[in-house]
Amino acid sequence: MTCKIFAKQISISNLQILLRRPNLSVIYLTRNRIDRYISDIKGSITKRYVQDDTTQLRPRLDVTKFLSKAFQQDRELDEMHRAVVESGVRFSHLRYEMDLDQDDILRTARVTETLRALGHVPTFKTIGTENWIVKQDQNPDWRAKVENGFEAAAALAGLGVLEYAEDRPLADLPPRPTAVSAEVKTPRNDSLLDEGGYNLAFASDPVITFTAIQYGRSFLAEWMVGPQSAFGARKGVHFLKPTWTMETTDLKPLAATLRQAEACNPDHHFVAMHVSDLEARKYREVGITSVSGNPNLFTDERHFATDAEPHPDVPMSDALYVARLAPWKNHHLASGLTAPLFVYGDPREDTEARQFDALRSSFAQAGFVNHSLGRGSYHYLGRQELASVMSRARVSLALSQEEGVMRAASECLLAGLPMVSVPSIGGRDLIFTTDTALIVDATPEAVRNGVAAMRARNLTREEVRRATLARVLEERGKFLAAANRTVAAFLGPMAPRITIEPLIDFSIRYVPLRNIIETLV
Amino acid sequence: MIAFESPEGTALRALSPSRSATMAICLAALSERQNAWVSWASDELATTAQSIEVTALRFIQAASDGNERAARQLWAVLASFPIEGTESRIVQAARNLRGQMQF
Repeated sequence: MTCKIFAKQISISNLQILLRRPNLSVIYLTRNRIDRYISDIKGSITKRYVQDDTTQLRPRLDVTKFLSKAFQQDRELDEMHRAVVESGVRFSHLRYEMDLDQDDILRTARVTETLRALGHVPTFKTIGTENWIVKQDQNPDWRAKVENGFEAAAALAGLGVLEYAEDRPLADLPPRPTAVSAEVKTPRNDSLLDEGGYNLAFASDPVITFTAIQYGRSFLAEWMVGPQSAFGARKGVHFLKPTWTMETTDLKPLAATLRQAEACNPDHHFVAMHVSDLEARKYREVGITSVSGNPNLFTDERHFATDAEPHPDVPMSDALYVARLAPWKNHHLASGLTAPLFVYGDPREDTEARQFDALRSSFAQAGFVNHSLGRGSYHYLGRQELASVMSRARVSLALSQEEGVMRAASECLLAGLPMVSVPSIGGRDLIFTTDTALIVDATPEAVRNGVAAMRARNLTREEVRRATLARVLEERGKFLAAANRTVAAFLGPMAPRITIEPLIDFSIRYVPLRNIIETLV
Repeated sequence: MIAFESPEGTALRALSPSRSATMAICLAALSERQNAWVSWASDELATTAQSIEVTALRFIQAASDGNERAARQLWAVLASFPIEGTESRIVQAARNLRGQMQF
């Protein structure tokens, strides 16, 4: 739902009711005070508030009336903002002059940034603008819009409020609610427990959890913001595992949420798991503790053997790509290969269904394994059957350039399939070795040549698995050492030790946040 | 900036400036060392909940008064806010002032 509310068009009590709706967020859409006021007085003269070019109309500006109105609007907006803050919903800003009166590219970027700060991933089908300045007045400087602009500016400067007039209301608000305060009066938002799904309660006293960061948000931390400590007198450490690279995410909103959750829950601490030095630096810059922790270290190696019986209904192929049918998975980079095998999730979503259709029509030579085994319908591959399909390929592919760690990368390598990857961020290369993985340019030719080069190495599947497992075990050791050092620092030397067994496959096992909270609270 | 006791000054106060306007007046008064305005604005803002802006103004005031200890404490409070995400003039002024200080 999108609802545009003008100041004074809704009572605070009705706004408070609206703010109780689940998954709601607020965007403040503001103009600077003086331009807004001039538009207002011009509109009251022409009786048309939009679509009119009023450049030629230059009324006198009454400074006292302007200030009186601006102060009144500030108070109304302050009251609305107080209701927003007390409701606990996320908020962000868009400014007409800075964000919307821009060219398409910049405007799209600004709107995207604003929506991402609220935890949304926007997809734009069409882009339009209200073109605010042109439809009102073509003068970029407010002084030229009124008869006595320079005289009014001098008067405002004399009163010490010229910059205030040229600023937008609520300009002093941070981009997101950031006050670090344990004095939260709004009840804990239990609907957050239905968000996200890959969670683990490692210990209950002290509380140790592993939960996800999704869309840049920690639903656990958001849920922990409330009037009382979520876990009573127990202490806790909460590890956070991103499902997507955080190298390209603004971490300030997450940092603010974590600080507030920690303020509401004394002796509870959040620890992010980073997969690259850049991620570590970004966390450090916003004050989030992090340890190196790549989710591919938690893949269960026992499920991926090198000797699975080759699937009788799948032809032998040079290359296998296990990836959902999303455009960013870059299946097209496999177009130089003779007959690649594609294994994927059910393309039920519109984007993936379209991608499936497009790939099938342009990639006649590829094997769409899930549909060929399902005789035209989608056929889900369990782990055992997936292992037998892997036995039909000589090399595995990783073609996305930005995502999370790409779980399939660890699965293929542990099944003994050497990998051809393109340059990427997200952390999948942690378990690569120079022998078992090639990183080539992101072009179909380079991928084709990479597969040929990898085949020419004649590596056995056992060699690939052994080299990968050695990397996995080495990195698991580093992760456990860092995690246990961190837990001990926060909870003392008697804290439970983190061990690897409970973590195996937790990042792919669907356990709603609600389930783990119910076992802990 | 006009004198605190001037007719225009009295008229401005009679309009009951909003929180944002009072902070703007306070910043202008601090930079022009208009103590009567600073004192009035500080009183007006005394009941305002702590915000980045109010903290920044208090920091500027402490620094202008040469009260280094208070300035240091207020900067520590200010630094606990994610001020990099804000663009307000008051926070910018505080940050610029902090850059010139030696603590």
